[in-house]
Amino acid sequence: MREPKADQRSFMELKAGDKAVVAGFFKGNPAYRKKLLVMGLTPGTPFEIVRIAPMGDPVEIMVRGYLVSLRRQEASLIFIN
Amino acid sequence: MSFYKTAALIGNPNCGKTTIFNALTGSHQYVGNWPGVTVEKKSGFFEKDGKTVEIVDLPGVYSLSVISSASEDEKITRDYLLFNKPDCVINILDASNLERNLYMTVQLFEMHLPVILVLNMMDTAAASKIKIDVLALAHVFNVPVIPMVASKTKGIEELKKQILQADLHINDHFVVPYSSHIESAVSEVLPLIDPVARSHGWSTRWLAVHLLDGDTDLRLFGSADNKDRIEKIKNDFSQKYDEDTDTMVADGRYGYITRISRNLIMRCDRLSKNITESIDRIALGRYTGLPLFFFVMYLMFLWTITLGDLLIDPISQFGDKYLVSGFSSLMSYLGMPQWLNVLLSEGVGRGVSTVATFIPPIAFLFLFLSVLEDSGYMARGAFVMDKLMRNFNLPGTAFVPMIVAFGCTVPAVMGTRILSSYRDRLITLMMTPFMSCGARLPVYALFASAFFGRQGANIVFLLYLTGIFIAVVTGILFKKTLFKGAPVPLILEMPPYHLPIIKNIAVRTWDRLHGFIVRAGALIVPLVVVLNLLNSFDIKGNFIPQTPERSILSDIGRSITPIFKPMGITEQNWPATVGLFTGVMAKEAIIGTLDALYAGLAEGATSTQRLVALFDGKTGAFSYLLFVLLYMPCLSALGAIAKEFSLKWMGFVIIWTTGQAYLLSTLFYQSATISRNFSSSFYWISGIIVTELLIFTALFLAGKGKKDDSF
Repeated sequence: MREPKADQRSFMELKAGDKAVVAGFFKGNPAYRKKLLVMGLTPGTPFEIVRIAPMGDPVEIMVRGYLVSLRRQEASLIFIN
Repeated sequence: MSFYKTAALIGNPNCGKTTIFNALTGSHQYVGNWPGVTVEKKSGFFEKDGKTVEIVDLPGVYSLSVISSASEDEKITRDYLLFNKPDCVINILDASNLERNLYMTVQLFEMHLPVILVLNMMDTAAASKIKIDVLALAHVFNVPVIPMVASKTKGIEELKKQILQADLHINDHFVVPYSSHIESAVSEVLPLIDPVARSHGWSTRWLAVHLLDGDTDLRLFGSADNKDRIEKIKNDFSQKYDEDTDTMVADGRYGYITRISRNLIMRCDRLSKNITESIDRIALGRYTGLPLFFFVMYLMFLWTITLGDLLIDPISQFGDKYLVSGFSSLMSYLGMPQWLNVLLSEGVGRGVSTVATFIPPIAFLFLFLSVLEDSGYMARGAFVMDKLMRNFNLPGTAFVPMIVAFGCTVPAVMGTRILSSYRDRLITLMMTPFMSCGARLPVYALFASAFFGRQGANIVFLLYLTGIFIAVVTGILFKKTLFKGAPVPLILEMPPYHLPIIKNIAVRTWDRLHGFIVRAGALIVPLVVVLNLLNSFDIKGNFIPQTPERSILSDIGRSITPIFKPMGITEQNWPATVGLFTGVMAKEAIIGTLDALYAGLAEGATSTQRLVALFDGKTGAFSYLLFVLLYMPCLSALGAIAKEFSLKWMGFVIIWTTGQAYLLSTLFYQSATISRNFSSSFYWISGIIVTELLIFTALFLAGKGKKDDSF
């Protein structure tokens, strides 16, 4: 749970079609972080924002060859490269 | 029954586990609950070569890491593997999504369990141009791997043969190499937990890693002292390396998976060009996603309620003809005493007939829901509706039972099953009775035409809106008080679309239907018997089907009518009270009761004229309709609540709905008639506001003790 470096951003800023790599996690709900890890979002893992839901949230990402949806606010726990 | 072996089925959600369970066990299945929790347990058996093998279907989970105190599915799975020790663990992998599926596999091998790997959905993988080296996979883990297309029962016989093999190989040399930091933490933990691991026969190294991975169950530590020491090791680790042990454990496992995957999985094409992507472009599209979802909901309503209604009439006619009157004639022919005849035909016969009328809507609903779930669309619905339903702390799928509730509360209550969290199911349960069900509509229609003439349609519409409004307020209130908890973060897998498998749909629908008939029926039938007897006998015990105004139920109605005076029902209008009682049997029964009782009072007027004369005009009529809209759901719905939740929650629903009905109808009536008797109305209105505030405060206090540990 380090603090992000200057070139690292939050998940919140990503748009549909963006590609990014998980850099680490902010402090926050540890159970949520753990579930993200189980689902394969470990540090160093690349993922892609596939689309955003019609009402603007949640977002669907592709990671390790499958699709999963996360809410922006919650996923802002992830910081990215 | 004694079993030659017990095999546990384990796999991620959406891996096709249910299909394999159904293919293995056929019709030899039992549904029950896991001890102490509301999670459904399915088990069954198969016979081959004269031997019987038990199959236990464990909940679909992504890992054995217990994520929090609320992750029941993971706990059940972990406990079963650790304490029940099945002879064989069948790990089902989705070949089209192997990397993530292997995460749990790695944990199973770290535990040194007797594992058989099943590589399911080989056809989907092939369609997505993914090639898997089956031999290499078997080589990595040094166990048998069975490629399978469960939807076409390809590989099932091979799996049965493997399960029956006398001695399954346990790969006890399997080790995941972790980073040096984790390895040194493991070596600190090992001596502490060695005794407890040995005494249970668990792999010591796995247990050490698992505790660093964050499991806090005291039984795994051996002692509270150990637990404190290991907590300290974890904390020191975070301080020293600026990273938590669980992150590093997951990192180590996925790192291992990524390395082995290079030789196992060959992707020949980019994944994004497949069918799922093309469908999702519409199903999740910015302009098409929501309209499509509402269209699907409309189809569901049409299919479940409209089609169900077509079948209800023949069923209830059949029930009346054979179970009630036919049965009654048969018994008088046999010379049975009249009281027994009435008890059995009007009571039990009608009760069974009532339960039978709910078979079509429940069966149709679960056929439809199963198709939505199996095809992969349910996750899409949850995705597009998430933002709206979040206002109630509910997942997007909670919308589905609420729509069904406009047709009938019974299938809606049963349909809350699609929600995985018990708390979400409870909040949805509290909201569904206020979605005005189809059986209330004829009551509204009767009053609308008698009192409101051309305004009638608007009044009915207003009632529906009021119901929705009360449901919304109820949902928000309970979310903030009694069912308080941190919102469950959303991590929703969007599985590839599949053609639904007919056998799975049939099995699931039958399970639900069977559960309703047996378990809800056991409550509904006796209640119908009691209410019907009160309705058909007078106080001296005479059977009086022709003069309902003399029945015990009418006597009770007459004596408690004063209670309803504040909402505008005068003592002369006691039939209105009796109607509320029979309405508990089934809402549409209100009309029949009112018609019969007013006709008895009519003396030269029609029953509708009496109705108009006895109610306090439009105000009194609307107040009564408001009560009918909000008060307790019918016996069949209560039976379904008792079956799906508990008697306690059934009682809570009765009190909440009926209490709100009384308070709000009175509030309406007194406000509308405040000019007639200002001081009395003023006291009523203030009293109701104070009561509601007290209720809110009580709920708030009840919720205050709740910890936010729901996730």
